Amino acid sequence: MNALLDAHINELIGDFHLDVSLRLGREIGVLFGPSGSGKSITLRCLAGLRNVRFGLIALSGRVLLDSDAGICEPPHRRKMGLLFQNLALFPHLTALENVLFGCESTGKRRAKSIAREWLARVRLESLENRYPSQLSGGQRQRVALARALANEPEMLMLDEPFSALDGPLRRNLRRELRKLHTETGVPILYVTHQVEDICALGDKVFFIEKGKLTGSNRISDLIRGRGRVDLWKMMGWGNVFQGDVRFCNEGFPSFHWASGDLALKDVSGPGPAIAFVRPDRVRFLDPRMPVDSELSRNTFSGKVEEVLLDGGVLRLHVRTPRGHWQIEQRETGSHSEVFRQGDEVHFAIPPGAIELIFLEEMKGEENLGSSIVEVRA
Amino acid sequence: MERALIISLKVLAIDIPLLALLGGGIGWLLARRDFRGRELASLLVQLPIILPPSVLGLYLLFALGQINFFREAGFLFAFPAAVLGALLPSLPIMIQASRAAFAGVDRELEEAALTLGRRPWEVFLRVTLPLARRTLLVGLALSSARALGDFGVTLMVAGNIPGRTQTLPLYIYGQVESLNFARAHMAALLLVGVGIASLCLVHRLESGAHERLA
Repeated sequence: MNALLDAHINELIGDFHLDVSLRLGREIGVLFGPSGSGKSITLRCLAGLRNVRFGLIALSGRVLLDSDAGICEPPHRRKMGLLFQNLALFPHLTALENVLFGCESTGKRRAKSIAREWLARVRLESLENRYPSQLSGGQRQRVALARALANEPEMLMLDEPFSALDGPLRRNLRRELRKLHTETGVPILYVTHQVEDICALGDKVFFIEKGKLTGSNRISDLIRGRGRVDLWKMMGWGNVFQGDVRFCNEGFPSFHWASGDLALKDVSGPGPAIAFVRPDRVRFLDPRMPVDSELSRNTFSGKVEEVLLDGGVLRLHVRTPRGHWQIEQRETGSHSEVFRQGDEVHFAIPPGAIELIFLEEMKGEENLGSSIVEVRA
Repeated sequence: MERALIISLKVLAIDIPLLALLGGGIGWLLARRDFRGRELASLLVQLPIILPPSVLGLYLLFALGQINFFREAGFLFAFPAAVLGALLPSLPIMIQASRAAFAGVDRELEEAALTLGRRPWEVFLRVTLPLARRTLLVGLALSSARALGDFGVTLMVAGNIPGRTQTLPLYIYGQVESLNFARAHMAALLLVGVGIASLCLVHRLESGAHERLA
């Protein structure tokens, strides 16, 4: 896909060194990283709200910043919409006036009809005369989204706009954002530190840590488990262990690490490796029922440390005597009643669900292999 | 009394726009611009409110007396001096209010307006000013009331010349000196009325601001 956004930013802010390069097509890119990693500053640099001394930013062929050539377009000429975390709705303007603010350059009468059209698209036509303080959290998000898109930006950036909302509302808004993206084709760069946002929203994810871009992946690849393990680890999602692949006397392969072992199948050879198990591939067991022979060597028991129900997915953090596991199950209505903090649970890891990355193979990978030192035990 | 009232109103008519422009401008600079010596500048502009009016008037008198232009233009002990005498002690009130007003406007709102394609001056007129307006008006009401009621500085630099520099507070002083208490009371009542009206306006503006932004 041809890149609409091509950005290289190299900026020193006090002791913080921001060094990121992004290429994004007509898709939704997610900028993911922990707090303080430089996500929001990156957006501000792209929008022109922060001066960048060294960098190059081009959008749809227009050069917005070229530090070598001395080009720096001011924010109002960049046509880059930015949805702030607190939305930045103008409190002295009604919902309609807020949206109108973004599209008035087209002439007053036409602008009004465009603004009304956008409010209708986000299902707020009946609330156009309300002030932001008279709208709910979700309605405010919609107004902010309509305002940003009514301005017909060539790119839209969102700085964790849904982070303050609860699960169902966030899910709805994510769906709406996806729909609006499909309708408008505007490339979107979305900042988040929530894994669900990545999976539900993005086409591509950029990982940022301590001001540096540490990697990028197609989200479809990550979901299929083909992402680099340390990227998963950085997201704080999944079960990652460092250990060795061995073959027992009977020739069966297994993965050994400091806190246990797992039976494997179809392994190319022995050697030090990283094992990754997606939380949604872990299977719960009923201790009263017989266990499938394939699973029998990979069974564990532990205590539930935390139960989270988010977006129809039940997330459990389970502490076993020798380790810690993340388990996800689609919520069926009865799970949340079954699992409570402190409960004893039994689960198994299907051998086919264990993804192995041999450290030998990783040595060839760019700059990331060495960063895997700390693994969950 | 009519002549004193007219002079006071004329002084106000010139001082109010000056307070808005100078006080608003300096307040904006102090709130929004990071420059060397900002804190010192902030202290210096507050000085007129701390100094006794007679001290401020004395320094102003000598400062203006040193400058040829003002001396030759007959600035001192004339109407322009009455305008300056009322302006100077009331300016810090407006500066303080406008500084708070501009500092209270969320920068992200202005940034959002910029990313929506608005030029900086449009952002100022359409976002910053409307959001700072109530606090600015509160400052303007209080500083105007202070300007209207100035006595000491005006007396020092403009004197108490009926029909030329005698404002309402100076008129009251003159009437008390000549034991004409009835006229002094009438003028005083007028100033009390203006003071109460200013306070009511301030109260209304402040409560209105809270309601809208709640």
